[in-house]
Amino acid sequence: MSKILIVAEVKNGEIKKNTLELLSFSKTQGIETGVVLIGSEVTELADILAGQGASKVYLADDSSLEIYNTEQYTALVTDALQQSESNQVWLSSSELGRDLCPRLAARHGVGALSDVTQLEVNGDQVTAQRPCMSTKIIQKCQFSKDGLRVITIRSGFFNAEETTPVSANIVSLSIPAGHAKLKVKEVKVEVSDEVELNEASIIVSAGRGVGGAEGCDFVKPLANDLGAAFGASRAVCDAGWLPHKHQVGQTGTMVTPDFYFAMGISGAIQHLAGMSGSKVIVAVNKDPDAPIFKVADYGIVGDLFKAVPVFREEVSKIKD
Amino acid sequence: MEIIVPIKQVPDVALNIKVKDGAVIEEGLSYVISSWDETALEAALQITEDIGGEVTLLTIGPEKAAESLRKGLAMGAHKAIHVKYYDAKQTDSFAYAKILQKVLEGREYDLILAGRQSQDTDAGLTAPMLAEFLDLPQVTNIIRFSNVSNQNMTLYRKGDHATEVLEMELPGVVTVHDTLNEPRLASMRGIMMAKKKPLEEIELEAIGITSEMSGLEGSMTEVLHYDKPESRKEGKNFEGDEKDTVKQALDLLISEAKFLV
Amino acid sequence: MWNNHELKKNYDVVIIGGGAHGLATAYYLAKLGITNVAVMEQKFIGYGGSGRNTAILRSNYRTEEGIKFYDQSLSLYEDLAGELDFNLMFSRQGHFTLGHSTAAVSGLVTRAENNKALGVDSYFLDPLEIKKMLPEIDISDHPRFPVHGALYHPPGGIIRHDAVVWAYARGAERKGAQIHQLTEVQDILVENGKVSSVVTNRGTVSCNTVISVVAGWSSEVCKKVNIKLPFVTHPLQALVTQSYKPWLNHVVVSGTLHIYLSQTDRGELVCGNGIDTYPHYGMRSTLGFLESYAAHVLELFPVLHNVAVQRQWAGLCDMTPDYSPIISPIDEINGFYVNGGWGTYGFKASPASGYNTAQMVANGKAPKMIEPFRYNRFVENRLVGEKAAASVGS
Repeated sequence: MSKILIVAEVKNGEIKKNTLELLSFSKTQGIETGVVLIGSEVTELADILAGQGASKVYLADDSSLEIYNTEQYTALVTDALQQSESNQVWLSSSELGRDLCPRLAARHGVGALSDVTQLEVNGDQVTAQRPCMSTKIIQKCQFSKDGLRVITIRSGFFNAEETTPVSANIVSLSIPAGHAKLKVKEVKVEVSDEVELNEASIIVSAGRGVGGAEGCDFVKPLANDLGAAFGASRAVCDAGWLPHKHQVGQTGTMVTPDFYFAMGISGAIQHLAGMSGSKVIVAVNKDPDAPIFKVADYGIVGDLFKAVPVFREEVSKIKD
Repeated sequence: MEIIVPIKQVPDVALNIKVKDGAVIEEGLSYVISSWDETALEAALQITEDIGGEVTLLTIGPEKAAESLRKGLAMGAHKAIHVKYYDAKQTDSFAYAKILQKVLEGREYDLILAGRQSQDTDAGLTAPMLAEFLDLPQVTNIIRFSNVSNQNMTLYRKGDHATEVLEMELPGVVTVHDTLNEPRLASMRGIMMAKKKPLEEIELEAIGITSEMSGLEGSMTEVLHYDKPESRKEGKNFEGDEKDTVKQALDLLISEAKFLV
Repeated sequence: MWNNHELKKNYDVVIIGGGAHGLATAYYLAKLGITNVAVMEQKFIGYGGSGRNTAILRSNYRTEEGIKFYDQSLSLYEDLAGELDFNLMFSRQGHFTLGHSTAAVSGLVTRAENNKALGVDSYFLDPLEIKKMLPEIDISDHPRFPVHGALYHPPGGIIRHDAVVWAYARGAERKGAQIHQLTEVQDILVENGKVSSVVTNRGTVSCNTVISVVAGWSSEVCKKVNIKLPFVTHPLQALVTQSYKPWLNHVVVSGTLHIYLSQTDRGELVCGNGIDTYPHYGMRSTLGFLESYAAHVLELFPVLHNVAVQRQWAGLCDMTPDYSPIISPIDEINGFYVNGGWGTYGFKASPASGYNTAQMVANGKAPKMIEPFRYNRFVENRLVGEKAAASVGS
């Protein structure tokens, strides 16, 4: 019998969308799924996970766990794995997941499949698809030996359904010590109420075509109108028009929103690799030959400085 | 500071990559150092220029992988280790990390500095696995270093929601994000001197790697086939006055693509 | 600068190859009033040798035939920017061919005399005279191959190679020729010993005349009409450094060291090698080239040790046995002409090549200037031996 353990991620006191997606997907597979919930002051979130179908919630709630660290998380997930007797562990393909997955797999003496975009689970047999070579190639792969299956899954490929919380079946984990040789000195959170790129279902992005920081300010209100995250191409960030946290692309944030609006983005390969998994792409660019139009579902050949105000006006009309 | 920089020779992904019958077509591929590894090498060179020490490149690969080592030496690395490996296909990160562990056991080093992932698999698994096998602390996805000494260093990690500042006692494993630096180009003199720098060649058997520990047998996962991503279906383009085109696009966005404002 | 066109059903002339030679041919044909012309380019214009050469111009060849031909080319280059109304960034900076042995010096002196006799400005310089003009050069006896002297050729220089391609393309298009990029000629059909049409990936067009102007791919095109010419294709590698302040005011070539270099207006050093020793169609850069180039250039200019290499690339050279081109009607097939065998010396020949090829096609007969470059000279044993003057290190 297969059993799955999902590593939950929390941000600002809420379960992240990518965790809910994993739970929704596991439910469709009809496999018993537990969740390991780690953090500081996170106990009350256990019921939400139970509502999403978690059979048990393995809980580690401690002030030392506010910030992710490899050592404690690896020990906690290992503990939860042993208690739950799970033979699969699913993580999100976030920075947390990317750091934890290989360490965890190695500790259990097994391999891992990372950054998976499609998953087929057939008992112990797990087959996955994942992009490689800058998303130019998709590989289909599987685990070739017996043992624990450790997998990180990209967000945005399954739909998280809304559920009501139910009382969780909680198993408390004992808190292990951190790594003796590694200490978190501080955490520099860039305080912002903006929607985060990797969480957003709508993204509006600005490219070199905006011409400068003022151009970014011109496009940004559209993102606010749509409740969208505000992204940018590498050119925009490298030029200092926007901070690098806005950068969409292979070296920035890989995104897969439902709707992606590319404003004045020509579509360099790194950018396309980072956003071409979006469900629907809308592009505005003056150059009809821009590569972005190759991936756009709706391409507007025109001036973004004329198009953005029309978008805003039409959107506000619809809202009214 | 003794720094090990593991590098991987990979196909240049900036070029067109073709597949046929589930396999990548070798012909026409051009091989380069994985760009993330170049960032790691540049960081290592900057550290040794700052506080002294040596950078050792390490690669596992066929004969032609030596070219990448020599390119790294031309950039300024001090020496190189080439683990001869002819059956690199179907070797997963787990098997690579195990071989790296064997190579590094018994060697003296303070820091293993690696790219965040390799450009061919984009998996990002090998370095943390190696850290676990060597029982070393790891910090991944570094965007900045500071206070680097032979005993410890401060690392700025790009986390999911914040920049995490960590202090690590050495030895340890660090992987770098490619915004960390702009890797240098090799100079004429560097290119010429690279031929004279020490390049150690190691056969797998010599470090106790048996056939069960390499290739598909030593791997925990396998690739079944390669494919081109499904191309997106042809989109609709609108030309003309933005007042009209934006409206047309938005109408379809709502009616066809179920866009909810 | 030029437009995309649908293929017409018929052209008077189809030129295969959208490099500098093919486009120059189209331009000069148009000047002669022949405008129903298509240039078929399998990739994009300037993709081959025209975009991969090191842009050196000179006419200091060895044979009378070679000197006259390249001198005509250089004169055409002089007026080209004006004629085509396009800034070609022609920089006439003088050209050194270094000799590193007594034998090499004697060859350079012979070339100087041959050049002078035909009115081409070339003369021999001893090491001290060289040092005055190239202060950074090492003329000591420390290097393995010390500098013994040089052939100096004041009219030599460099030009912006892409601009030459674009200028000819625009010039030809303005006069009525059509340039078809991404159009690969897959076959050439011959009926009753006469060219009838060409088959492309975009369709078949009929034509009376086909000119193969494809340099490195010449053997492949000739194969389509079952003609075998003595072309052997070798790769040639080059590199470009980062930009530095202007310091090198001349083109410097060393046959013995297999290298040449010049500095562009942007400050990069453009550096080339001899052909790779193996016949090959692959345009792959090698580390071996980089290493040997670095070692050799530092023997000449130790000052370059910190110069960083920006990029390297390779092109294809269709070598002939005598290191001279073949520009010729092919007697066996009426209407088929070959312009090829450009080896390592093709770019500098572009204007004269196009000009004379156009004359040949327009008149059905090669003008005197290119008669020596007929294809059957190899069976008739009338070679135009330019090996000593046409390339380095082979």
